[in-house]
Amino acid sequence: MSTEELYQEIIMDHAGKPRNFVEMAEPDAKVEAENPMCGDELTLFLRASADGLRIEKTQFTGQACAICTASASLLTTKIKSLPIGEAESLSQAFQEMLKIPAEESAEGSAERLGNLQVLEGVRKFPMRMKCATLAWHALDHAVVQLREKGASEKLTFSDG
Amino acid sequence: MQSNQAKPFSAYQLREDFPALAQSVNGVPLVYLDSAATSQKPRSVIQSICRYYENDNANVHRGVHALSERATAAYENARGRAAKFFGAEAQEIVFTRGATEGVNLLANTLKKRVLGEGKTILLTEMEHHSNIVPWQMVAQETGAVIRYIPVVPETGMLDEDEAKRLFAGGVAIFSCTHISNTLGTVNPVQSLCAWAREAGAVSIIDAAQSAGHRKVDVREIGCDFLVCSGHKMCGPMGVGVLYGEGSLLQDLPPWQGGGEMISRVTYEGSTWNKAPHKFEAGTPNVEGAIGLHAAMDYLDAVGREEIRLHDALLVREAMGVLSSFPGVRIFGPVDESGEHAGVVSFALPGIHAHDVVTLADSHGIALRGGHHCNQPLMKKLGVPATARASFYFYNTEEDVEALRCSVEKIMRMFSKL
Repeated sequence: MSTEELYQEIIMDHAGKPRNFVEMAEPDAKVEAENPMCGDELTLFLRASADGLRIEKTQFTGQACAICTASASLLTTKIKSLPIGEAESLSQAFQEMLKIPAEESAEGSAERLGNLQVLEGVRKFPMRMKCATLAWHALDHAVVQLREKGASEKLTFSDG
Repeated sequence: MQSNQAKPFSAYQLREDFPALAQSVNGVPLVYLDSAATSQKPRSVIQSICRYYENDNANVHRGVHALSERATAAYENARGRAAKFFGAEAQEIVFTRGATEGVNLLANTLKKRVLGEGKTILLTEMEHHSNIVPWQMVAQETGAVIRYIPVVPETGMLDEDEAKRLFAGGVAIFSCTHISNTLGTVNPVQSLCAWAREAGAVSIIDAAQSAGHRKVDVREIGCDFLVCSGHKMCGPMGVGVLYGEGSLLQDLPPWQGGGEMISRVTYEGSTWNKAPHKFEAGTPNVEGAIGLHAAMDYLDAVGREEIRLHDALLVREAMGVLSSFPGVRIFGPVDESGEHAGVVSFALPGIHAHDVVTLADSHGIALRGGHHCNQPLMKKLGVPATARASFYFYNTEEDVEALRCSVEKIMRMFSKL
């Protein structure tokens, strides 16, 4: 794959017009992430559904390269309304996609990843790997925050 | 360029001496614009290292056999060569791993002589991390305070009035880069060292970016100490030079302990060897010193003033080319405000430096993108990162043209043109 192929239309589209690119007031989870080595910075916001089981809304802000921005933008469109567990496994599948070739990956992961596969080419650019995964690492941490919050809510529920 | 005879300067001819420059990357001829990170090496340097290992390899200063004598002579000749290169005496030259180790050595030995609670270490806002972090470590240890001479963001120059004010407040150690690796600023090191002297401060110059690019004479500069890295001046990696003024260097306590730095060792204690050997514990980087010797010969044969002029010519052209694109920001001094060395940092509008560097690489151009080991300065300039093109005597106007073509393609790709 050539570099130009890496910067496909869909990546340039999401980098140029990132989706859900706005700060969230009173999020249920907020994670600031940065790659100090290259200067990518982003903040990921999550809102959980009322029952605490699903991700209702995801937004992000920040200043980052095209690969990082596109990856974050795609993330926000993909995990909207997903059950928390599914968002987690999607993150796992995405990060796996960047490590191992498609033919070796778990069955069904291609369907699950869908248009996230446009970022598969990053695998050939080891120096850019962190750009593609930054938002997903932020998601992993945000999910932990959601779960902790959920756990405390549950505790309140059983008390009642 | 095997002889020391002056030849008319020709970047095209000099390129022939650099095997690594004659290659293609990503299917296009390499355009190497990252010499501020490390320079390429001429054949004479590479061969000097091969010759040493094929003929003279032995440990130095220890053996009396023929090979050891040859290796010792070659190593000490390199010290003499470095002394000549910087206008110093051989006993004032310590071989280090590079500028970073030089600063660490100075921070850890000077702290015992001049630092203490409330003493001031004066740096500048344009220092490389290697001239910030070691000082932060010893400041924490000794209770010393670090102050920074500010950079004027618009001009990329030091605020000299503020510098004078800071010196007047009392300074124990002053450490400053000669040329900024990010901004290309050439600092007025002579005046700065004079102010340091008046303030009774020890002065240190980081010549990592200047030593291979212009004449650097320690007596002219008037510094107490100077550090540099061999690999940025056509020499091999892992070797550098620390200059220390005769009695000041002699007066420093040793840093690392081991063989070579001692004069007598008993189970109860040891006495130290004299400088410079006192600061060279263990088997030194002999091949590095020999390679650096060849590099200094090479640079002098090219002519250090010719190198400075050629760098300036290319950087001026590059700044002209870059500023012809709409919205491009160029950092560091522009012509009127001060001298700009062969380094130009820039930001394309709305395009992150990492994308610029990845795409330029696909066009065969080696740029550096990031914070250039200068995170606080990036913050001050208000950018997360910049792309940087750095030039050397083996770069040509064609390289600048290649940069222009690449920037144009990248701007089009991001719909900025």
